[in-house]
Amino acid sequence: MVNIDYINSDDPDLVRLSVKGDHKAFGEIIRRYEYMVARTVKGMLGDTQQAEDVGQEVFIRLYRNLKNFRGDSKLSTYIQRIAVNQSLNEIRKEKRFLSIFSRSDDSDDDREMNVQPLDNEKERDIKDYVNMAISRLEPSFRSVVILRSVQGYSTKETAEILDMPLGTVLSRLSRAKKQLKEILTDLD
Amino acid sequence: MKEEKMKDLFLQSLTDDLNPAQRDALDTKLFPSDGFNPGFRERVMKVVQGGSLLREKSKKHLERSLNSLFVRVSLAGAAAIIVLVLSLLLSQGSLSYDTLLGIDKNVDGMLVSLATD
Repeated sequence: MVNIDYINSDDPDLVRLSVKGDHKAFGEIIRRYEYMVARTVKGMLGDTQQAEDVGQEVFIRLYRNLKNFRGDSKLSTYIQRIAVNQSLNEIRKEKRFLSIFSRSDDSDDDREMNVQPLDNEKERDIKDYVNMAISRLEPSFRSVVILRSVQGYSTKETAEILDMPLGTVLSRLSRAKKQLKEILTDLD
Repeated sequence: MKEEKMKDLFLQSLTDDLNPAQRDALDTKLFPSDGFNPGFRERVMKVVQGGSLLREKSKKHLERSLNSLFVRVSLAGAAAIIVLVLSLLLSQGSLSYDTLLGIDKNVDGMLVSLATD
């Protein structure tokens, strides 16, 4: 039996092994990208149990779709795309659920979904302010901000992950920046 | 780095490329990587392994069911053919093509008389 060095294997090898049913190879993929996925889904949904569930769903979907992964883009890009789409789906689901159980004038919008209230004034710091400001953005703006500022992708990479034109990403970033400036000023 | 500067750095990161030191400051102060709760990988693997095990089991179960169904249908079919042949043999006394096809020798004449009436 051949001993495989999973830690030093590259992504395409791990994908190939995972497709063949090697669970250790898939375990290594999770180890490599858990933190990346956590940043994205927590950025989109807040640090909640819901984010943890979506994180699990991201990897389960990845496993089920690995045989369709052609390797045209990097594995990290593919995973990021699943993470963003799953988070947006979760936001939509919650929005639908809330719209059923609340009056229309109550459901202002979904800007502050899953935001942990900052009860203790002393605990507020710049990290909380910035995360709260991000959570107040519309989901489509939130996703570009998370990929660009939180994950540090270039605008071109962000466009590739979101599968949208570069111009749309640049426009959303510009509008998001304007909104964030206003929100951060309001929070001060 | 002061909070106001961090805020500016965050806003700058939306439209400009940051240098490594700025990126590091942003990652440390604003977006530290916490990951998920402990045991996250094990929980996902449990679902993945359970799912593939379940698929394998259901595939085998389906194969067994189809095999068993095929044997039952083929046995029942063979028994029905034997019973049919025997009943024809007993009722007609022979096993000619006409008997097997259910054609009576008098059919032609009957049809002609029906048509002329």
